[in-house]
Amino acid sequence: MSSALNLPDRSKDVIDRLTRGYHLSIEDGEDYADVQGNVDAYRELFDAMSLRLSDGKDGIFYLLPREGAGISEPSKRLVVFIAIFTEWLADQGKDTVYSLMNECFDVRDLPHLKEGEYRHKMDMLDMGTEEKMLRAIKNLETFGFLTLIDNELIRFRKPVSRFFFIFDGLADEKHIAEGDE
Amino acid sequence: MNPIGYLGLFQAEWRVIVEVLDAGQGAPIDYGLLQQIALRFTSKKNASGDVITKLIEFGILEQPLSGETVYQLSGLAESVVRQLRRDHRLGLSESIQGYIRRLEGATLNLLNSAHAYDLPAVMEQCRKVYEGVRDIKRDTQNNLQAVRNIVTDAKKQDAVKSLKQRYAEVMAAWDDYVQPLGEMIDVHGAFAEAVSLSVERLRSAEAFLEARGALMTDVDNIRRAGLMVLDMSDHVLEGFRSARDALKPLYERARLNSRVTRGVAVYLEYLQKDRLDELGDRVDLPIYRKPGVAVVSDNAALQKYWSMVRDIKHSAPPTIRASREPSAAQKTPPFDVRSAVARLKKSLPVENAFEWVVEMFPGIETEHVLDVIQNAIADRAIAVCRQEETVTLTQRHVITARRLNLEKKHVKRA
Repeated sequence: MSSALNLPDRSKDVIDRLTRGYHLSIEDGEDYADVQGNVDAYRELFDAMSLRLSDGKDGIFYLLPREGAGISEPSKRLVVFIAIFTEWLADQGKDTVYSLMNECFDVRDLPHLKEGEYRHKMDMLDMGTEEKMLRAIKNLETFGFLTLIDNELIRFRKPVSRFFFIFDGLADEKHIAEGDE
Repeated sequence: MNPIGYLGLFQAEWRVIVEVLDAGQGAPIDYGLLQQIALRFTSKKNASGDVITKLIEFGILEQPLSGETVYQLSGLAESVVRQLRRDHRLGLSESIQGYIRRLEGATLNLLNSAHAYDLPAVMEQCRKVYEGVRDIKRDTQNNLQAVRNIVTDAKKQDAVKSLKQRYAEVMAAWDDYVQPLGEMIDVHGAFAEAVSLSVERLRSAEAFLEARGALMTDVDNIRRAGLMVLDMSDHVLEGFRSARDALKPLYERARLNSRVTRGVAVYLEYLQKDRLDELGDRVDLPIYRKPGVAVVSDNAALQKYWSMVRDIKHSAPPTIRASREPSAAQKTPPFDVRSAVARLKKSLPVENAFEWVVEMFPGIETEHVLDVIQNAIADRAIAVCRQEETVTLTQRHVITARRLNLEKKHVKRA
């Protein structure tokens, strides 16, 4: 008759973080370990709250939006920000994935508003000022994609690999010029 | 050719030979450049011409095209230099197929010769088997070293080649060598079949000659050939595994880097031309955002969870009644959740916990309703049973949640 509430140890903290859109990864220590060790319990828990937990196969746990939620503008902005970052690294002859995951970047050195072509793209998504760009960076921090140190240094975290999958999915797509032939 | 003279010249003019290889990077060089190289390493001007002439006479240098004054190292000389400098170039996986076919041919001829009791022919074919085995092992070792060089090169921080080029070499090594070789030496592949067939023929020839009373040395030669073929097979498998294990992590990294870079270029192009919509939801990063829940407290999501509530919405706004009396809130003390839970426990069993709280404490804030429920659920003396979904009205909210049937929990004493 009774339903025993046998909850994982850190469920309060985990629920709090995930419901704010945060992405948990191994860098989050005990919170991540608690989810990884109790995946079924957490999935049941979130199901009861009508929420969907990711499968965690990529080493990241996060909540998925409700089905049919549609593409959001804030999400688009984040993708554009990371895309410009990646291309900038590639133009420097770097291993983009490796650099993004292992290096620190000074916000003042970012190319997003310095280089004309990138600035235009940032403008297209209403990120054409320093203030708006910083807001995007803070959003990325809120969701757990990066750590912003002293408002100056950016260090990306494992969850940023979600963006790589988007770009990987486009690798076989034809460029517009090819497609229009 | 005088072998001692050849080796002596090779040693004496080693620097010239290496310089010729590096200057052409494997391609022929013209006579002028050749003379400059020889001059650099000889003390007398006229001696440079003599050096070149000797190198040509001994076949260390050759003219790849008759009538044209371009020169390159012979295959043997180049191979020696590369081996000694560990400067290995990745060969084709298909080259092993050529060696295997020769091996199969040699073992078939050996078997036929054995049946004809042609012992000199048997020995000749044995020698071909030895050579074939040696060539395959040498090729495998060379390719393994070449793969290792590619891996080392790709990881260098200050390499001359661009990262793009180095990663391209990694991917080419995987796609053109490791992967096709893996298919070839698969347990059901052509290599395994050829090895098996060759060994079978050699054993058959060995048994035949032994039964016919051939000399022990002749029989032993065939037995040795069979063992060498098996050893070669193990060597090839081990070489493949080592090459694959050395290259795979870097291949995956190079591949991902290449695909991500290309994907980004496509994405930004579509963005530039304002045609992102054509890529559909492939370019979307689904991120959960907390929907606008009715503000019950600062920690609405947690409260909902702990109270096992599915949804809370605002109900119709209350009618404002002005009163001359001091505000009721100023007179009413803070809601005592603990007392409320104690009262609930005394009233057990309760069929609908939400309804009970709202009825017993009319007008309390929704937040307090959830507090009481939360504490009741967590109380070890209360057994909770979730029933069908129901709706409960508070002063300002509509709570949708499972009906909670509460009873006293009977705790067994030891």
